[in-house]
Amino acid sequence: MILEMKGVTKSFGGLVAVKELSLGVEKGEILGLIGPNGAGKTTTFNIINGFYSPDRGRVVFEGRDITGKKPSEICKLGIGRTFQIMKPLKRLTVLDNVIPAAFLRADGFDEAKKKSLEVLRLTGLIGRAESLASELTHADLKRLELSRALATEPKLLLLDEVAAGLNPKEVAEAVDLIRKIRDDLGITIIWVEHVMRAIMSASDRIIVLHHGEKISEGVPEQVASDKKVIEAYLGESRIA
Amino acid sequence: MEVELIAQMIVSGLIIGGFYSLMSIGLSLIFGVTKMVNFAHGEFMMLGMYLTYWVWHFTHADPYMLLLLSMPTLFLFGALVYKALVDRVIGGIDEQQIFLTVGLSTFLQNLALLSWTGTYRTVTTAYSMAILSAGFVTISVPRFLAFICSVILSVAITLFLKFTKTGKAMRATAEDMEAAMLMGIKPRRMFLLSFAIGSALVGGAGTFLVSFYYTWPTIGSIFTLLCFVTVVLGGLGSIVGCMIAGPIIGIVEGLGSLALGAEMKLVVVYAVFVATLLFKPRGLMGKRML
Amino acid sequence: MGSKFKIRKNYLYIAILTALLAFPIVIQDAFLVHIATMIFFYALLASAWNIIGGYCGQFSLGHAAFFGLGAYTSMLLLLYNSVPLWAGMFAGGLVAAACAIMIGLPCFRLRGPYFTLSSIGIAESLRLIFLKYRDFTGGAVGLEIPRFGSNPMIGPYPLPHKFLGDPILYFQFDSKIPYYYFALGMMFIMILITSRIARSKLGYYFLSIKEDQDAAESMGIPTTRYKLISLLISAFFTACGGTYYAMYFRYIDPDFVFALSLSVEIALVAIIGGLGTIFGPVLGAALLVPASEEMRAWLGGTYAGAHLMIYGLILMIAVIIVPEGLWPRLRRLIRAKGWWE
Repeated sequence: MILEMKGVTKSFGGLVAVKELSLGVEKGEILGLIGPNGAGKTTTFNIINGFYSPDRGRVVFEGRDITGKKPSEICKLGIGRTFQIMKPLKRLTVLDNVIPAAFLRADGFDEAKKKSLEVLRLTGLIGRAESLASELTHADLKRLELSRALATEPKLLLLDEVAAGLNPKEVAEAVDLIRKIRDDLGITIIWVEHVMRAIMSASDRIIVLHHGEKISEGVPEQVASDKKVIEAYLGESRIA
Repeated sequence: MEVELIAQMIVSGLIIGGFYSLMSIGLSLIFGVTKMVNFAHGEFMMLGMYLTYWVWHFTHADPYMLLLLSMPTLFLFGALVYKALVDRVIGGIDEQQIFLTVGLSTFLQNLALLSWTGTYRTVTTAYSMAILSAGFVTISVPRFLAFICSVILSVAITLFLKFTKTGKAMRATAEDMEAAMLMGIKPRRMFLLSFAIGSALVGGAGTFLVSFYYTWPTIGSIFTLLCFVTVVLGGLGSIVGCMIAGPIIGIVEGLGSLALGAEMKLVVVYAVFVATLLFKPRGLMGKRML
Repeated sequence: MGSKFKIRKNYLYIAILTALLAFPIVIQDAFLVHIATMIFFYALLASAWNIIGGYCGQFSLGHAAFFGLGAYTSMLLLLYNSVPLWAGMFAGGLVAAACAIMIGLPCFRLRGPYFTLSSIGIAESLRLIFLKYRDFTGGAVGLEIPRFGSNPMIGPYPLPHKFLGDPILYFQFDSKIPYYYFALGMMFIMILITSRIARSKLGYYFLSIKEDQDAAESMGIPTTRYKLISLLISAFFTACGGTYYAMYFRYIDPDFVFALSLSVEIALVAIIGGLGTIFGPVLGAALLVPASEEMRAWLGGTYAGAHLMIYGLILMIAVIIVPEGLWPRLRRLIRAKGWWE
């Protein structure tokens, strides 16, 4: 198990966002995390990533307790992440967006630049390396988020809604890229997504959250036919 | 230290603190709604002070009457400043928002200096020297009046925010701008209003202040700093926080003056500021407006 | 038109450097040498401010705190211990760095305007402290570089020992020319440091923090630590500028060296020139220093108020119309016209 969450609970004010959540992620798998809006998926990411500290429970990464550590420390330990609401460094070029991330593992500017260019080749942004981040299309911004996370050479990658707002062709490209990242780079992936087709087709396993609790877990086919899951989505009048 | 001296300091501190609360509420309101710090806040007060002074100078009207002039004028001035300047940088980058009002502050201070010279001015009335006594504690009447009126205005603005439709809209914008927009509230109108109201409040504070203190062109700097400390102690964006923090700062200032001398008052206040940041950065009442 | 004027970057740098070095010898006008020296001086201060403000995005309105600490540390070391100012400069930098840690630590853990507000408070507090404890600091009367053979004065009171030594060792010259070169050298060093930072991990980390702190943290950047590093560098060199001021003007007092208006001026130079760029502060100084001297000549007696009022106006206009500063615009223009190679 590369990552384990044990009994994690987090509340904001009176609202419980995540309740007694326990899950495990196997090294090298693509784990899909789905659930209706407000299920606590992004909160879970924020807890793993270090932006929130859980009220109760522990997060263990590669055998090490990372509960309560700062995001920068957690990134250093090998967890990378993209944001649902994207955070490009707007006034910098695409390349300059990725270079700071590369500096984490690189020695000096030249190596950081080299690594950044490699990552940009992988994600297909190499042609836009000198464009300003503020000029990118939606799909390219997603690639940029991904590039930044990849440049930190993570062992575990948290992807937050990478397919949102993409057209079908772009979604297919995104799925291919995600598979490639796992297959070629050996990076474990936890993926939050609303675009069901994408996540169901590419994930090895799925975990379903609802009101901050895990209601189902298993391979995609199992989860798709799980009555609890269907009710949760229908109940919220929302099917992806 | 004699008990009487300390008791006197505490009472005086409370009295002036009530005034600091009013002075700071405008700043907190503006920040709460627009998320911008108005670095020219003290200068708006300075303008209120000078307006009151000059009208008094020619008409000898009672300064508290002049509240009816200073507050609306400063309301309009705040609205004008928003429309002409702030609106252009709202939603822009940090440096724009900070340095716009910093530039405005510098501009207004020196405009005042050029127009009215650095001579200290104050308003004197029949009751300027009057005092009230309660046992061994004395209170200056103008300060006491200022205190009472500050409390009245503070309560008024709180009621406005709590019960009126516009007030609620402002609070909604402060708490969650996107949700407010979904409810049909226009954020920029709220920003404009908060600037106008904030300016009116601090302009009114200026009217009170000039009745028991001097005004000069650069007085804004000192009081802006006091406002910052009060607002941060109370909680950036919290009105109730301001009302609690004001008297605390007033008392701390007084005790600091006793301990280290009057010239070091601000240093003690600043130390409180740093302590707040270290131990309770969200302030006493956190971020909620009410 | 463009291709005929392709200038080779290196030749341009050498030409400019040579011109700067030859300037005071060729131009025998003491006033112009003074203006040039002041340009270098403000360029130095604005460049130092730029490290924390322009690159790291943490805006200080109290850099006078560091400036004044630099000036006073070196001046007091000179008066009490006969330490030459250029040596005391380093001590001044260290004191300022300590101050930077003191305000940085509580503020940089937080997000929001706290650092900016704190910076105003610290400069003001230092001004009041240095005014009050006048038996040590000279208070409002200020401190002056003593004449050789006389007693150093702390405010109105003389110290028991005499100030002795060689004028050259103490960098005391009658002519302004040595001061010109010293300021040029300091500005040059600052530019060099800025350019090294800009291309390094530090620079990229600072810019990331400025653009988006959450993103920066997620990329493995310990944001609090790097904000502190940025402030330390900035404070150190601002303090060096303070010592230079003491050297050049030979007199300091709390009301000038800790003044809010000085802090605002420094920020203004950086903003007009261009935040987060290497040459922005230099351009800003090159524009504002001569302009303010012009204003001084023009406005005569009312100068103090009018000059600052216009600065306020310029700041407001600049921030609305050219928030990124003039140097980036100039650079784009030069590139567009193909003059640069």
